[in-house]
Amino acid sequence: MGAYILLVDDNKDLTDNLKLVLEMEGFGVRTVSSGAEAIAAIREEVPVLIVADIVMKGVNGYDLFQSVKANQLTVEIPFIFLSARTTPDDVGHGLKLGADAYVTKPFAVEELISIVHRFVRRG
Amino acid sequence: MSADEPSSQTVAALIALAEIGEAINANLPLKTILNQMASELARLVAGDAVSIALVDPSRQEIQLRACVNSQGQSLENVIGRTTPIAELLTVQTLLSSRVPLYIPDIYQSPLWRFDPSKPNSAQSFLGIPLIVEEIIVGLLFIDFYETDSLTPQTQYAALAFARYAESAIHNAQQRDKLIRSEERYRHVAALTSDAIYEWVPGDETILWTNDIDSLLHYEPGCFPRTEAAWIEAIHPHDRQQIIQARQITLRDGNRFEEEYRLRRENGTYCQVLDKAFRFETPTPRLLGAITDLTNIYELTDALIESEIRHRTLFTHALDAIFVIDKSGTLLDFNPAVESLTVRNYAELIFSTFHEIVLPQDLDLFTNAMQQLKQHGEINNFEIRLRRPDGSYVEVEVLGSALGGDTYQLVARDITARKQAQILAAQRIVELTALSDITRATMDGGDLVDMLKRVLPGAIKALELPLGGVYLLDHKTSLLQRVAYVGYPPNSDYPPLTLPQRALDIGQATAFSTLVRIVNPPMSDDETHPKSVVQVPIISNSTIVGMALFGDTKPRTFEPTDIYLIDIIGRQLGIGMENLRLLENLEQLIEARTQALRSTESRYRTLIEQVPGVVYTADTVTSGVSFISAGTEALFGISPPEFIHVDDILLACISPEDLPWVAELANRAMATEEDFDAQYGIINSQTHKAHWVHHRARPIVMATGEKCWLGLLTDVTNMKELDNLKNQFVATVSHELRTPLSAIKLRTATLNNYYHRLTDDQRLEMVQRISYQGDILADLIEDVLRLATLDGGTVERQVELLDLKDIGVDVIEELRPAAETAAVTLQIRWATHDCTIRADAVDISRIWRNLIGNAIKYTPEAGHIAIYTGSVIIDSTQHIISSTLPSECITNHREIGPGKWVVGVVEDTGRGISDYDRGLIFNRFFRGDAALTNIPGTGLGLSLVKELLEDYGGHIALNSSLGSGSTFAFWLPSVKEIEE
Repeated sequence: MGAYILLVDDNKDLTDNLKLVLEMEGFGVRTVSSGAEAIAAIREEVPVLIVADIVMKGVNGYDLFQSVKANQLTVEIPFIFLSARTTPDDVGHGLKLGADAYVTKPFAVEELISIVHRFVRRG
Repeated sequence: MSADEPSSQTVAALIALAEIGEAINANLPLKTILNQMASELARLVAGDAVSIALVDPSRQEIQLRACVNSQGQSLENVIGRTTPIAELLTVQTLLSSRVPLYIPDIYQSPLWRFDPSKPNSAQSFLGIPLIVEEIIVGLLFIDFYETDSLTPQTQYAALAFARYAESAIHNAQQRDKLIRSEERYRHVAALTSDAIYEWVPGDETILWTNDIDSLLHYEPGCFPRTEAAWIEAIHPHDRQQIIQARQITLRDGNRFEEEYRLRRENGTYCQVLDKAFRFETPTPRLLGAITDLTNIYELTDALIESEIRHRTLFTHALDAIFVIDKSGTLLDFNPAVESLTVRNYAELIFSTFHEIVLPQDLDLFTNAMQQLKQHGEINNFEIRLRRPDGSYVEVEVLGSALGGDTYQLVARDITARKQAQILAAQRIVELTALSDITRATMDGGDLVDMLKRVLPGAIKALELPLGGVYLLDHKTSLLQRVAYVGYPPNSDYPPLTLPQRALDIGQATAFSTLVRIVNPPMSDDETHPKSVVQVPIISNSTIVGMALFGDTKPRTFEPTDIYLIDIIGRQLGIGMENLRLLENLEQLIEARTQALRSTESRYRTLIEQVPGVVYTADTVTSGVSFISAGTEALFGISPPEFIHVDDILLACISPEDLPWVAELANRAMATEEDFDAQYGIINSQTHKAHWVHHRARPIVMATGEKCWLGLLTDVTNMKELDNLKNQFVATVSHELRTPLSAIKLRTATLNNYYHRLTDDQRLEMVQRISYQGDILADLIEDVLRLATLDGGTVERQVELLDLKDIGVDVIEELRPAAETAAVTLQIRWATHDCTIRADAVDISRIWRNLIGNAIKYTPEAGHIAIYTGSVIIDSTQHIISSTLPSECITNHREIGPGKWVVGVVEDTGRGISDYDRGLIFNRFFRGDAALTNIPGTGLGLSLVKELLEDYGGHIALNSSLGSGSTFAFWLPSVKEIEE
């Protein structure tokens, strides 16, 4: 599959749409709807960027982040939180954990695309 | 001049002298002697006047003590008259020359100053100074009615009389000196028993009284009564002389008077005086008396000493000392008498005590003298002595008998003491009254009562029988009588009211600017005062009333009265001021008490009602001195433990909060500023966490003690609610943002990539937007529904519905979510009637919330069973029929009798803990879900419960942790309603 961006969100509606847009922008994209699925996908093939929701059933966004950063193989993968948790505390917490970016929902799609560009060369 | 023969003149003179001598020997009073002397001399110089005057050198005057006219009458009216020496040239000449002065013809003499107002028949004059111990004590005058009348015989007789007068005066003085001493009197009294003897010459036996035995210290009757024994007892040196002298007396008839020594029984000698006379009948014999002079000699020394002492005391005594005879005649006195009586020596000497006693006290004095004569002494009788100017002096007299019918009176001026006593008594009355007044004015209470209490004290102090107090009524400008004393109840004085101007009427006195002496009403009524004085009562710089005092008798008000009235007026004012202050104080106290009571009740209410603990603690040690009940529930610690164990509160504070709480507490202690903090604590018994809102501030107690007053409120619920709200905001925000972000993304995609999208893609975009819009609307509806439920303004479209139909719609709606969650929905619709009466929106929300929750909380591969049932419960709470499994019916007793339609959502999820079961229907409560990032608002179940209650329904939950949950919602069956 090559370099791909992993989108993790339990809102399938959102991930489907985002996948469409990013692919139109020239990125390889794979979507999963839970943290557990994301971990499985990463084991399969390491993505170039992870964009993850936080509030998810089971393995949530934070768990996923910890898991990724705990692994030597994946620690370097840029990690972006994309969340409806929008308080400064939430954002601060996410960035403090070491996330490369924190995008709050609802978001402007152009903004997200420009952030993705910072971490991924167009495939 | 008498024409008698010289010889007969001489004889008469000798006879007269003998009589005078007898008078002197008889110890008659000097006045009597002098009078007798003057009479005798007048008789000798027949036809001429004789007078004797005493000289008072200190006063430079002479006083006539005896005066006999040519008829031999004593001129009592001139006796006692004094004349200044300066007026009498003759007296001045006599005093300076000290020799007799004869003026043959007074009209020719420059020494005689004729006073025409005093017709004087005298033609010639003889004056002889009377000299005692070199001092001219008196003068003897003879006024001759013819010029040049002095014959040698007359001169001789006059000189002889003068000598006699001198000795009489001397004797009187000596005698007085002797008898003045009480000591002396006693000794003299002891000398009354001389040994008397009768001796007949040639007769061996001598008759002795028994006194001879005691004189010579023999046992009675033991001294031999013989001439030989007597002669033998005489001291050998004296014996011959005595024998000879006795012979001479027997032979010549001379008086025998010898002093010699007689031997006592023990061989010692005593000095005796032997005085004897010769008697011729029946045979010549000697009758004599032997006096023991030993004692007399001893006595004389003692007497001299005593006399000196007595004299010294007498002269220098501050008390006046009078020596009087039984008739009250003054025989002697000390200088204090002169100053006490304001009379000089001449005026006093030989005057009678009666003359100086105030006539009103004469009876008193007579009685006292009788007692003195009877008992020999009298103690302390008070008597008033007259002074020449008409005033009198009060004296206290101590009397004692001196012997010889003379008495000593010691008088002490007690005027000052009396006055002092009177003043002191008055002063005590005043002070007592004033102190009563002061006390009365301090006592507080009712104003009129106070005035009534004061008034008696005031009139007592003033010694006025009448008194009244008025208070000024400012509205009517009248003085209203509020208290009075001394008036009979039926008296119309003092009047009940007086015009205000009465305050200004009257003459202000010079002694006080306030006190006025006023004219009382002219009235014959005895109860009306004749003298009235008034004083305004000034309180707080305002005239509030008036006190009025009066006397039924006319009287003048002394400065002291005015002063006292002034004081009383002021005191009354102070009293009223005090009352006013007391009243204010009482009002203040009352207000304070009320305030305290309400504070106290507020405080009690606070303690009882607040879910917390009130405490007081020391500002220095922070030791808890008081802590209210309720500590156990919060801390698991009893109040006594709080008081007795230091810093026990700190031990409860949760470790993460302890550092900052301790720091904040220390700062508050140091600065004494309010402390306000919310922190977590761990209950030491249950180990459950609580949130405490801890407020404390330093206060000063009523006792002046400073302490911290603190309130510990359990805000766990509030904190939880707060947390829930915060969570809600976050959750709602999240839940809203999720569909919103999807919509926004889709519209942005359509907008930005419209031309690169296929038609199908565009269509899907629009459909997804619509779907997400529905979710968003639904969510908003949930929030709004709750809000309207709270506001009680829900508009419902109630209709007959089938519970199953609504459920089917909801299940279809949620199926995609169930698929995403990988849970299986098992629908087991029953065949029974499920008709209910409700708004479809509400019922679909109930289904949606319950099924939606089940999907959210059921793990992958779980199952969710959805079904309905019908239950009938009778009035005894027994289930008559049921199509439901028994585990669905957990609380039918709470649900109550009736026919019910029941919707059930059963999942195989994580289950709900016992603790969470109690809270799960509360708004915003999400249990652990909040931590596990399961989306939700926490409003769903509370909304379900509230909606069901609106339809008379119930929600029931059967669940345990790890074994899934069964939610059953009960709604009244329409059949039930219709039946």
